[in-house]
Amino acid sequence: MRTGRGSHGWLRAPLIAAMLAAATVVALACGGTSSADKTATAVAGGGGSTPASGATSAATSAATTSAGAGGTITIKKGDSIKIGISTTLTTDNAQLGLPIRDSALLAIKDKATIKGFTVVGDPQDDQCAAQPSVDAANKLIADKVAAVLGPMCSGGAVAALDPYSKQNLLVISSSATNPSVTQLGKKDFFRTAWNDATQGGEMAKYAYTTLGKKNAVLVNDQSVYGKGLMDVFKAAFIKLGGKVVSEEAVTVGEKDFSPTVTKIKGENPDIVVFGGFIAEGAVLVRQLGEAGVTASFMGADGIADQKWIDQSGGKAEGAYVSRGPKPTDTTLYDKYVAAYKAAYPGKDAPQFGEQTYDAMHIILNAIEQVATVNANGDLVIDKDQLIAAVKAVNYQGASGQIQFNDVGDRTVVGAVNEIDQVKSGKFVRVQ
Amino acid sequence: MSGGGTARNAMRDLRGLPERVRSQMRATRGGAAVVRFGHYVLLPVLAVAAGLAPEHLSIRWAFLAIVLIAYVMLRASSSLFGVAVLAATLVVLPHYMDTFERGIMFNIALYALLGIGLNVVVGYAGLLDLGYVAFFATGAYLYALLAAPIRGGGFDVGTSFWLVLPMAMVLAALVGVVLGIPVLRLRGDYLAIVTLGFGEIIRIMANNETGLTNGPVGVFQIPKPHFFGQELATPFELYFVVIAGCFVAAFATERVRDSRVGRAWEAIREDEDVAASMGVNTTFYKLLAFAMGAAIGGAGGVFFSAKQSAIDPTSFNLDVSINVLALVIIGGMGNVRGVLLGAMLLIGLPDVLRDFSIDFLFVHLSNLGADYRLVIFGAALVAVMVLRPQGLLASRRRALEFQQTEILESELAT
Amino acid sequence: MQEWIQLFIDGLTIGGVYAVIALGYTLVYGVLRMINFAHGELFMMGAFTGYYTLNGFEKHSSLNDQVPVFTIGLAIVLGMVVAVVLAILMERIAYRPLRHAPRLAPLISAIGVSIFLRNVMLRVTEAQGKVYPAVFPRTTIEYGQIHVLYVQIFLITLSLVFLLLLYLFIERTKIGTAIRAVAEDRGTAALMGINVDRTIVMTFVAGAALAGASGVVYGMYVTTVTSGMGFIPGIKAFTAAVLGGIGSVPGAVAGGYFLGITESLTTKVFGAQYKDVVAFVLLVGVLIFRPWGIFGKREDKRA
Repeated sequence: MRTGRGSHGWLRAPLIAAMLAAATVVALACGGTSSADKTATAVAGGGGSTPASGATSAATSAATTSAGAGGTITIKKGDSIKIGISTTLTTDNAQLGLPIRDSALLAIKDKATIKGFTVVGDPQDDQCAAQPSVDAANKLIADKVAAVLGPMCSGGAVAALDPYSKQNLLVISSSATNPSVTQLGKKDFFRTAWNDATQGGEMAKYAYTTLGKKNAVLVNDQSVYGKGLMDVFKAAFIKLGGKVVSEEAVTVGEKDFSPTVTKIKGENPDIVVFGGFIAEGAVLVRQLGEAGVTASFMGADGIADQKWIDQSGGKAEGAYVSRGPKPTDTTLYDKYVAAYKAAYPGKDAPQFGEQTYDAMHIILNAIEQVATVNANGDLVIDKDQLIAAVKAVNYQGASGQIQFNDVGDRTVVGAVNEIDQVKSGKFVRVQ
Repeated sequence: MSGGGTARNAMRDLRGLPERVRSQMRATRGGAAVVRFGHYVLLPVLAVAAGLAPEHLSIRWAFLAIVLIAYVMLRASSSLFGVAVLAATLVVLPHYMDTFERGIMFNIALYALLGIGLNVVVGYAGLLDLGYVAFFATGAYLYALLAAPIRGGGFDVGTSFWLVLPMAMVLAALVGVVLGIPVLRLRGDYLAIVTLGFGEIIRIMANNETGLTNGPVGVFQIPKPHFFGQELATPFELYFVVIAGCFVAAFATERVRDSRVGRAWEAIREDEDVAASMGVNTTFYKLLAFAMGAAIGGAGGVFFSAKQSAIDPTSFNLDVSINVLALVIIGGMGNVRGVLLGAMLLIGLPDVLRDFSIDFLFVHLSNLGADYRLVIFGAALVAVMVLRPQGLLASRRRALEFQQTEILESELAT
Repeated sequence: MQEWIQLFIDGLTIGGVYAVIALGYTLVYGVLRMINFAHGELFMMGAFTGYYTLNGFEKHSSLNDQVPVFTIGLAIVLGMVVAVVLAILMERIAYRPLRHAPRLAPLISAIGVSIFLRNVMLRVTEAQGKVYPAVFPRTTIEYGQIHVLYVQIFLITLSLVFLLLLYLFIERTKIGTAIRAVAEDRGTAALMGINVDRTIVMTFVAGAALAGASGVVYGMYVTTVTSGMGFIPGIKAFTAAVLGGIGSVPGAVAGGYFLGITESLTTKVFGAQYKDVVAFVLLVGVLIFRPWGIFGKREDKRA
C-alpha cells in the first residue's frame, strides 16, 4: 500500500498543476466579465426584469449609488411580494429574535395586500453574528425580496449591509443600535432602533442629574451592543461629573455571575448600569439583589422586556430601564401592544417590538407608494424611489414619530427618552 | 483500547493480511470500476441538465448535483478524468447559481481550504487541534487591520491583498510555532483542550484589546482585492480565488505528504516513541505540521476577511474549529478529496436546509428548514458517522487500518 | 478578607458543578477513550426536567408549598432518570456503533448529539428562558459581608455528596470494579468475563445521573434555564477533567474545584472577561510540568 500511494501522488502532481492553471484561467475569465452579468440577471432579475435595469444594478457599487440607476424589482402577476426578515431564529439569542419576527409578521398581517399582490414575510436566521447575517442576506437577495427588515444585531448589520447595498436593497433594522452601523454611510439603510449614542447619553443624564448618582459600576456583556452602549454612557457620565468606579464584563450564556457581583459589592457604587440582553441582565440583577447590593440598577432597551422582570426573581424591583426616546402620547403604542397580545395569546409585547412593527409598516407603505402595475399586470418597484420614499418618511408609529437623517438614524422629534422603573413587577414609566 | 493498541502493533508485524481484509480490498476495487464506468454516463447528463435549465435550477438541485458528482468522482479516486471533471464542475456550475447559492459555494470552498490545512495537522501528523480558528482569525485580522480605513477600525496601511496573503501565512505559521512549542510534549486529548483554549484566548483578546482590534465592533469597510485592475467585488469572483487556493494547498500538502516529511509525520502518527527512537526529530516535524496547517488557515482568514468586508470576534468562536475538524473527519481523515466532500455536506447542508419545507397532505411546515435546520444537522452528523465511521472518502490505507482494528477488537471483545 | 472568602465560596459553588460534570467526562473517557461532547447537554436536559416537574406541581397543586422536600426530591430523581435514559439512547445510537471506529469518529458523533439536543430544546422552549418556581427559599446566611444562599449551600453539599457516592460506587461496588477493569484494559476485562457492553452503559448511566441531578439543583440555584446552558459548563468541565488528568476520578474533582475557584479569583483581579484566558494559561502551565494532568497516570501513549 505504501508504494501504491506514492505512485498515485506522482501521477497526480502534474495533473493538479494543470488543473490549477485551468482554474486560474477560468477564474480570470469569470472574474472579468461573465460573473457580473450573471449576478445581475440572477439577482436583480426579480423574475423577469428588463435586461437594462438588471445590468446596471449589480455591476459595480458605483453604479448602484448613482441616482436613477438603482434598478427595479419586478413581481410577476400572481406572485407575492416578499419582505425579508433577518433575525435570530436559533441559539439563545432567539429569545430576542423570534418575537421580532412575530412583530414583523403582525405588521404584514395589517397590510396583507398591496395593489392586489399578497405580502409575505421571509424570515431568515442571522444568529446575531457577522457571517450568518451575510449568509441570510445572500439568501434574501436570492429570494428576490423587495426590502429587508433587519439584521437583528449590530455586528451582523455591519457585515451584511455590504451585500445589501450592492443590490441597492432597502434595509431597515429595528434593533441594531450600535453607532458603527450608520457610520458605514450606506444609502439604503435606515433604523427605527435608536442609535446608542442617543440612548447612552440620555441614560447618563438621567442617572446623574435626576437620580443624583455619582459613582457607577458599568457591566457589559462583551457584545457590540452592550459594550458600545456602556462606552457611550461612560463618556457622558464622566463629562457630567460622575465617576465610573469600574467596568465589568459578563459572558453571554453563563448563568452565574457571583464573582462579578462580589466584586461590585466591594466597590460599593451608587448605581450599577448594565448593557446587554435579557438572560444575562436577569441573572445580574437577581444576584446583585441576593448579595445585598443596595445600589440602584439601570439597564437599557436590551432588557426592556417583561421577561427580564419575570426572570429576575423579584430582584428587579426599583430598577430603572431606558427604552430610548418615546412619544409622550402612547395611544399608538398601546394599540400595538393590544394587537400583539391578540395575535400571540399568552405573550407580552417584546422589546424592539414596536420598532419592528413600525419598520415593517414603513417598508410596506413605501412599497405601496412607489410600486406601479405595468402593462403585463406585473408589479414594478423602483429601488431608488423606494429608498427615497423611506428617506422622506414622516411616520407616526407605535414607537413615536419617525423621521430619518442623512445616515439613516432616527431624528428625535418631540420625544423624550423613556425611563421606566420596575414597580410591583411591572414597568412603570417615570420619564 | 490499550489492549487493542498492543495487538494492533503486533498485527503490523504480520506478513500477510487476513483473508477478510484482502477480499474487502478486492471488493472495493471492483466497486470502483463500476463507479468509474457509471460516472461517464451520469456526468454529461447532469451537466447538460444543469446547463439547459438554469432558470429552474433551485439550490437543492444544484447542490445535490455537485455533491453527487463530487462523491462519484472522488470515490473513483484513481481516475484522472474524475478529478478533472470535478474541477470543471466546481468552476462551471456556480455560473448557474444565484447569489445565495454562490455565497454557500464560497463558504464551502473556504472551509475546504481550512480543512486541507487542518488535515495536515490532524490527518497527517495525528495531532488533535481544536483551536484551528486561531490561525484563521490571525489571517483575517491581519488583512482587515492593514487594509481597512481608520473609520472602519483598521490602520489604513493600504497594503495590497496579494501582499498580505503571504504575510498572513507567515504570521499564522509563526503563531502556530509559538503555540506548538509549549504544547509539544502533550498528546492526544491534552493537546485538544490546550489548542481549544488557545483559540478561545485569541477570540477573547480580539474582543477586549480594543486599541488593536476595535473590540466587539470589529473591523469593517475592508476593501476587496483587485486582480489586474479588476475588483473582485462579489463572493462569486472571490470563490474562484479560493478554489485556486484550494488546488494550490491540496497540491502542496499532498506533495509534502508523499515526501520525507510526510513519512516522518506518518511515523509520528503511528507511534511517536518509535519514531523518535528511529531518529525522527519529532519536535521539528510536529512544529512543521503546525506551521503548515496554520499558514493555510491564515490564508483562509485573509479570503474570509476580503469576502466579509466586516469581521468581528463572533466570527472566530469555537464553532469554526469544530466545523473544520468535523468536515475533515466526515470527509475521511488524511484525504484531501474527502475534505472537499466534507465541506460540502457540513457547510453546505445547514444553509441548504434553510429552504427545506414539508407541504404534503395535511402537513404544512413552511418554517421547518429555517427553524429546525440545526436539529436536522445534528442528527445528520451522527448518522454520517455511524454509517461511515472512517469518513465518506477514507483513504484506502486508512480504511484498511480501520478494518484491521475492527477485526482484532471484535475478536478480543467476544 | 471577607471579600476573598466570598469569592472562594462563589468559586466553590461553580467549581462543584464543574467537578460533577467533569466526572461524567472522565468516566466515559476512562472506558472509551472518547470525549463525550454531549455530556453538558445531559446537564441541560436535567435542568429542564426539573423545571417542568416543579412547574407542573406549581401550576396544578400546592405540593410545592406543602411538601417541598418531596417535590424537589422528585424533580432531582426525574432529572436523573431523563438524563440516564438519554445517555443510554445516545450510547446505543451514536456511540456504540463507533466503538471500533477511528478515534475521532465518536467525537464528531458526540458533537452531532450535542447540536441536536441543544436545538431540540431551543424549539421546545421557543428560545425562551424558563424560570424555576421559587420552591427553594432564596434566603441567605449573612456573616459580615459574606452572604450565602441556602440553595447555594445545598448545591455545594450535594456536589460533595455526589462525588463521595461516585467514589464509593467506583471503588466499592462490583460494577465500579468492572468499570475500572474496562478502563484499564478492555480486552483483558472481557477475557475475565466482564460484560464490556453493560459496563460501558453503566459508566454512561453513572455520569448521566450525576449530570442530570446537578442540572436540577443548578437550575434551582440560577433559576433561569435555557437550551444553551449546558454548553459552557460542558467545555469548562472538559477543561477541568484534562487539568486533573483525564480518566482520573480524583483528578476531575480537583480540576473542577481548581477551575471554579481560579475563575472566581480571576474575576476580582483581572476582570471576568479574562477569566478564561487565565484558566487556559494556567492549564498550559500545569500541563508543561505535568503533561498528564495533576492526577493523571502516565499511560497508553496512543490515547
